[in-house]
Amino acid sequence: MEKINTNYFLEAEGLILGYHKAAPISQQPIYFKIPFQSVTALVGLNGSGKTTLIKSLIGESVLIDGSLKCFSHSIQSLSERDLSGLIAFVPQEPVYPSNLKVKHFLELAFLPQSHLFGKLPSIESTDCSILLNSLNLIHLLNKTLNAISSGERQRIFLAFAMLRKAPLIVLDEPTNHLDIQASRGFWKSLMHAKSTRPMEILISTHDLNFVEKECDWVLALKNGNLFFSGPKSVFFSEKWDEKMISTEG
Amino acid sequence: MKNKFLSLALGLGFIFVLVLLLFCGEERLSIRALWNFNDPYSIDHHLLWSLRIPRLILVFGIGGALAMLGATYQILFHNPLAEPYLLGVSSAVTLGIVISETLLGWAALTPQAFGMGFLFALSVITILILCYYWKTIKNMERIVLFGMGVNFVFSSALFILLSYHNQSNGGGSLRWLFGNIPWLNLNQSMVFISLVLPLCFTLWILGRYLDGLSLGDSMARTLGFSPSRMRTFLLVLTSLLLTVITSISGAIGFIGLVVPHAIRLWVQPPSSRYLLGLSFLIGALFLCLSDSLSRALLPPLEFPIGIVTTLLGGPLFLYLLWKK
Repeated sequence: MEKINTNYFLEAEGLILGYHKAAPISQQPIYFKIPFQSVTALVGLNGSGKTTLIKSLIGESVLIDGSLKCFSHSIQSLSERDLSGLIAFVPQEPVYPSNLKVKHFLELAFLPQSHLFGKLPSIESTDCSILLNSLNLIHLLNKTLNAISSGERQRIFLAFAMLRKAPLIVLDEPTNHLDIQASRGFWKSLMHAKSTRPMEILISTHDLNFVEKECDWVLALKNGNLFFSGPKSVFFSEKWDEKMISTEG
Repeated sequence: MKNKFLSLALGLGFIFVLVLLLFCGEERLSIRALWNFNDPYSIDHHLLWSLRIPRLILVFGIGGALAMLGATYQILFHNPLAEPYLLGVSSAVTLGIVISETLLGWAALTPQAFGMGFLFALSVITILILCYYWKTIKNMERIVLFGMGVNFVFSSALFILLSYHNQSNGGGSLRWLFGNIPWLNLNQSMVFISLVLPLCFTLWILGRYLDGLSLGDSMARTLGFSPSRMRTFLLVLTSLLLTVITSISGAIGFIGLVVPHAIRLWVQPPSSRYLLGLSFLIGALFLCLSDSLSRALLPPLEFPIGIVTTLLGGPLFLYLLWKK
C-alpha cells in the first residue's frame, strides 16, 4: 500500500453509525478530519457511540452509510491483513487466556508479520526489550496474565499495541477499571511510548483531565452524532466539555 | 541445553514405550519378531505385522487426534469443559452407522456404513456452518448449545434403535456408547493414519490463529485475519477429523477433555501450538496404554476402551488437580 499525501490520518465523510440499517445510532451524517501527529481523544457519555465508531474503524461493524478513511485507505476496502498493518487495537475489555505468561502473550504481537510455518520471534531476543524496559515491564515477563494487577495488565496491553509497530494505535477506554494512581501510571507510559517513535493515537476516554493535559485533538460524540471535532484548546476554551455533559440537545 | 537433553530423553522414552506395547497382548511375541523378516509365514511375523502394528498405528492416531481436538475446542469455545463430542458430529456419525447396521443391514467398517456415517456428519456440519454464516447462530455459546441439542436428539434416536434391534451384529451397543477399537489390517490402518495425520498437522499449524482467537474477535481482526472465517474453517477441519475417528472407534470419552487439562496443569504451555502438539503425543501414548490394558485385563475379552481411559485417567487427573 503506497502512502498518499494528505494532512489527515482519519477522515469521515457522511458517516452513519449503527449496527442495523433499521436503527442507526446517528441521526445526522458525521464529517471530520483529524490531522497527523496527534493524540486524539474520543470523548462522550456512555452510549454516545464511541465504541461503535471504533468498531467501524477496525471493520468489526459495518458502516450504515458514508465512508471512513484511515491514512487515505477506505476502511471497507481493506482486508484484515491490510488493516493489521495500519491499526493496533486494544479493546475496552480485553479477553486473554488467564494462564498465559506475559512474554508469550507479547510474542503474539508479531503474529501478522510471522511466517505461518515459522516460529514467532522471542521477546527477549528482539529489540523490544528496550521498549519493555522503558515501560518498566521487564519484571512482569515471567508472570501469568492473571497474576498481575489491572494497572500492570493495561500497560502490558499498551506494550502489545506498541510492539505491533502500526502507524495508528486505537485504545478503547484503557483506564476504565483503574484507580487514580494506576490511571496516572498508564497515561505516563502512553506518553512515554509515544515519544519513542512517530505515530497516531486515538483513545476513547472519560478522563477529561488527561485530555486537557496531553491530547492535541478532541472528537466528541453525543447521542451517536458528532458533537465537536477540533483542537483541544478550542474544546476547553469554548466550554464544549460542559455542553457535552449537559442533558439538553 | 538442559531442555534439549530432557526433550530428547522424553522422546526416546516415548518411542521405547510404544515399542514395548507391541509385546503386550494375549499371545506372547518373541522380541526376535522385530527383525525377523525372513519368515513371513511365522506366527510371530503375523502377530506383529497383521495385528499388533496396525492396532498400534490406529490407536496412536485416534488418541492423538482426540486429545488435540479437545484442546482445540477448549480454546475455540473459551470453555474449559469443551470436548471433541461437543458439536454433535460424533453422535451423527454413530447414528448413521448404527442405522446402516440395524435397518439397512450393512456391517460396520464397510464403505457403505462409512458413507452413511459421513453423510450424517456432513449434514450436521452443513447446518451448523450455514446457521453460523447466516448469523442465526451469532456466538460460540450458541454453537455449543446447538451441539448439545443435536447430541440429545441423536443419542435418543440411537438408544431407541439399539434397544429395538438385536445387537448380534456390530459388537453391541457398548461399542458405540463407550468406544471400541476394531482390528484393522495394515493397509486399512495406513489409510486411516494418512487421513488423520495431515488433518492434525493442519490443525497444529493453525494453532497460531487459535492464539489470536483467544484474544477476542476484535483483537484477532487487527492481528490480520478474519475471526469468523477462521472459526468456520476450524469447525470444518475439526469436524472432518472427528468424523474419520468416530466412524472407526465410536465415542471414546475422557481423553479429549482431560489430556489438555493435564498438560496445562503439568506445564504452562506458551502457545496453542505447544499445547496441541503435546496433546497429540500424550493423547496418543495414553490411548495406546489404555488399549493394551483393555486387552490385558480379562483376556480374551476386550474392555470397551472408554471405560479404561476413564479408570486410568480419572485418578491421575484428580492427583494433578490436588497437587497444584
